[in-house]
Amino acid sequence: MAWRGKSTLFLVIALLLGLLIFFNDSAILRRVQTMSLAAIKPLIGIINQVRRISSRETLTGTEADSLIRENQRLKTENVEVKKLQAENEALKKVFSFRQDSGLTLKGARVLLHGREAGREFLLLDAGRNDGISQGDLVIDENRVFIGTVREAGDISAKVVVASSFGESIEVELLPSRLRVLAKGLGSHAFLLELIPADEIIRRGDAVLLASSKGRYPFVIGEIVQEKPPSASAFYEVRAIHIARPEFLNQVFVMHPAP
Amino acid sequence: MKYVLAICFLAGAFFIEIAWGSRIALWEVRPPLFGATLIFLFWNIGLSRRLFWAILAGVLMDSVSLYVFGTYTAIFIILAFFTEILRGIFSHAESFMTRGVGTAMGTILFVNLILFFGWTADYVHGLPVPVYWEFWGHVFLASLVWAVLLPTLITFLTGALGLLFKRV
Repeated sequence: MAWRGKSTLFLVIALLLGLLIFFNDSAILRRVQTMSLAAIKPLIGIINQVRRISSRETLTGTEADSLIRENQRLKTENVEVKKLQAENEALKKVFSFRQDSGLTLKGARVLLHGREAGREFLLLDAGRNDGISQGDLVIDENRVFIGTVREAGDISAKVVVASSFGESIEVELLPSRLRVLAKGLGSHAFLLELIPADEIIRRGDAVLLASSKGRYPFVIGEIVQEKPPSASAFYEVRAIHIARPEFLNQVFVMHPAP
Repeated sequence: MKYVLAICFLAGAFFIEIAWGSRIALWEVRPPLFGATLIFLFWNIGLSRRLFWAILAGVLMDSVSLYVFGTYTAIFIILAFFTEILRGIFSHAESFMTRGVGTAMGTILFVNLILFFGWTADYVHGLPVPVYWEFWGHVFLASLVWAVLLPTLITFLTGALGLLFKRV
């Protein structure tokens, strides 16, 4: 093919690319997306099964899943105890959360867990048709906060895990009740920024999601490293995300987000 | 037979990357095994066939990607042209070694384009784009490492399979 012909073809393809990326919310492309996902769902199912079998063998033995869930449950209970000690009323409202909040929790099956350029994500098998939309919050069965819905297709949704590199969320620390910004560092770690030097921060303090109304204490993680300020006026604090999205089969999407 | 092998190679690469890629990720960048295999297979086919495979593979990857639908398709189409340009530059384009080097160059471009196109498409669609330039350094380094390892592996496997089938 002559270079002139190639250049013309390149221009046409470039235009197509532009359409594909910048106007991909069109009905045709949404349909293609839905069809392609429906077509490869069985393959994703097989991949998940293979991955789960191999992870049991190599990671923590045959009881890995139950141990992780037990660990999460214990940490959640620990947070609840701390909240009671601080005479916080919010915990009582957790049990009547659904009645109080008026929020609806929608269960969704996890199709795939993946990582892409520093960001960890979940692909859910529920989307706009099920009332899920961008920005909805996602939790697991133990009320551990997983992340937010980044994109909702017709039959699927993509959830970015909160501790992914570059993600930021407002969190509340317990028992200090301090609200700070948590930056995702990847590998289930957070950097908590701008904690004043006069605050009392200890290893093991709980990190909760700071909701706008302040009454839905979803656990995110716990502080694992606190460096008292020397020259700086702020603490350098790191926390871990206790959610284990790679082992989740089902999550709950809160709509609308609190 | 050649096409059956190519499809098996691609399906295997997709399966391995999606199932175990996250576990062996380097600086949070999973090995682009599917992309590298596709670039390797691009080398010996014409442009129109390359574009067909690029669209098919792109739709497949877009279905399981975090980025906006169409990002991978766009990248694979660009790589189809990139292969054409590379074949024009190299004097011994048919050599097995040249094919490996071309795949390595394509792999570097592929990994970096994912980040660039991913961010661009997300920005255009009004999705939150955490621009973290320091991370690009990690991505570039990871792309270099994968560009050495994966084409070597693919070239070796293809060569070994070629020898095996010649004997059979």
